[in-house]
Amino acid sequence: MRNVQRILNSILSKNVFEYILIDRDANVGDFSLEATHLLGEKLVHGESIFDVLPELVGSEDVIEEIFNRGKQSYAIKTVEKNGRFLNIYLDYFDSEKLLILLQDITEVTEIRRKIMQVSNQTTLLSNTLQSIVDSQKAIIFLVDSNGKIVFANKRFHEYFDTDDSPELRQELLHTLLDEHRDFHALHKSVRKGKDELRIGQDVFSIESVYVDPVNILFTLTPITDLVRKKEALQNEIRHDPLTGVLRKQSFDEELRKRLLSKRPFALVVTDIDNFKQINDRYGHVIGDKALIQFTEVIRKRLRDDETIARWGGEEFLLLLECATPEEAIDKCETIRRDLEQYRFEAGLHITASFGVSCPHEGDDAATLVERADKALYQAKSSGKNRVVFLN
Amino acid sequence: MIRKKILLLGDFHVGKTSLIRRYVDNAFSDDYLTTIGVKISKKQITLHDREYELLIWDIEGATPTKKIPTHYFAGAAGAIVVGDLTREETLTSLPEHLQSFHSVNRGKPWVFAYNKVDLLPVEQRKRLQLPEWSFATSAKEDLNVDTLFTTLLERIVS
Ligand SMILES: Nc1nc2c(ncn2[C@@H]2O[C@H](COP(=O)(O)OP(=O)(O)O)[C@@H](O)[C@H]2O)c(=O)[nH]1
Ligand SMILES: [Mg+2]
Repeated sequence: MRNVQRILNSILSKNVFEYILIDRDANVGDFSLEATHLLGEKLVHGESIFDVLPELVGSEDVIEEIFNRGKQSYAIKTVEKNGRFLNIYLDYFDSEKLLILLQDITEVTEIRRKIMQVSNQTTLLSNTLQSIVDSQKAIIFLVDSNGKIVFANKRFHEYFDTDDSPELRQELLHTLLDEHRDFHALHKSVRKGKDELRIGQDVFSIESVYVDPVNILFTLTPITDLVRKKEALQNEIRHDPLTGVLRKQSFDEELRKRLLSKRPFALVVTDIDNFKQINDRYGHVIGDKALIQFTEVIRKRLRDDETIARWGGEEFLLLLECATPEEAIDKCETIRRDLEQYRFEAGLHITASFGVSCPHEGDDAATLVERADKALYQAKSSGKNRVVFLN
Repeated sequence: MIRKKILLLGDFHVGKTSLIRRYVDNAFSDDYLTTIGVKISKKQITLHDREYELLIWDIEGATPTKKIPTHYFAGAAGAIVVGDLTREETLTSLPEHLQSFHSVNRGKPWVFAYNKVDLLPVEQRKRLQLPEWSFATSAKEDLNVDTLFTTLLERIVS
């Protein structure tokens, strides 16, 4: 009776079912007329149900059980058939018959299919985008309006070695943000042109952009190698390739900075005595070696904040820290003696002359160098191997 | 004529519907139409002088949140488990699909289809190493599709 009720209920609720009754041998008995239309197959009394509803092949055990137990129902939902969508229900009818109910759900299923289609395609697209983003060498992450990282690519997790623990995230924020208050401040500073970020030994070029009104996308491209190369190159440009001391141009920069600082210091011009003869007599290889050794001897006496540069052939410039001129003169005297006692390449004895001067009020770099040069000239013309101070 | 119910299982968009279409109608389309629910296709085949009718179940692809009702597996004689060679995650889920098939049909035969092999560069195709009972297939270029179904039937009747 329950099943008759079900047919009735369905019809009353306009939820239309068609029905087929089958016997214990799974042969077709009574059926509603519309069932034929729904299935697109002609139903014939006494014919096997498996011929018209191959969906039930494999369900033989289920059918037998429904007969034997007298209850239990079974359903195959959303079956595409004959261009329509059906739900197929199997129900106990009586001890001789089993009721198959067919429910047409085409309309609602077509809507569901459309939704699934969009959702599947979206999933595929986002999977594709994800793998593109993951394949990048750059660290990429998205920050929302609350300053929270809401997305990060594979490289991000590899680099920061993150699981998702809050402590780690906090620590990471400090590293990333550096001196900035939050990601918005970082974004602003990037926009103002601060496009490099250092994390430990690594250097990144950083870009940030609002991808929509609330989310900022940060991209950190590793440029450590590039920066290292650039630094090495700059170093090369600033230094004399033979002796490794500063070049004149870089020294001039240092000197100008030093003049602005207003603290006392001394500028020294020094020149190896009779260097031309050494070159002529022993050749350039020995001469070059002597130049290198010459700077080594001087550098031993220099503090870290003192500077030596090569001006030309055998002429060098020194910036010495000193409270009084005497201190500088003493230091030059010490160096002069060091050189005098040093055994140079090929057992050579080499001496040098020194011109010392200290900046006066209103001196610029050129005046100061000129005065020291004049002092050197005096040292040379009064017999060489000596230190002369000009005030 | 002996009827055999066989299943095509695998994630969505791996080419289940396309493999069936190639096998049954010898046709292929590049368009993608999401399968909803189930659709049964019939194919008659003669093997060792016997006639079989395969009832091939194309089932809506599973997603992590959506599992196939396992009672659909009931009475199946075998399964073809399909993965998409261009989407790693669909290959890693192959064993899962096989396992849920076996949870209902213990010990029943199966074959794996590593589909869309036509999309792989020739170099990668050569280097492919597949587990036992696996075939690199293409519904698009009709590679190994017949073999796939026939091998399964061979395993079923042997
Ligand atoms: N290139 C290529 N594309 C395929 C192949 N098989 C299926 N496709 C495409 O992959 C998409 C999904 O196929 P479909 O059969 O609907 O996958 P299903 O969700 O597993 O049924 C469709 O756009 C098909 O055209 C194949 O062997 N090669
Ligand atoms: Mg499909």
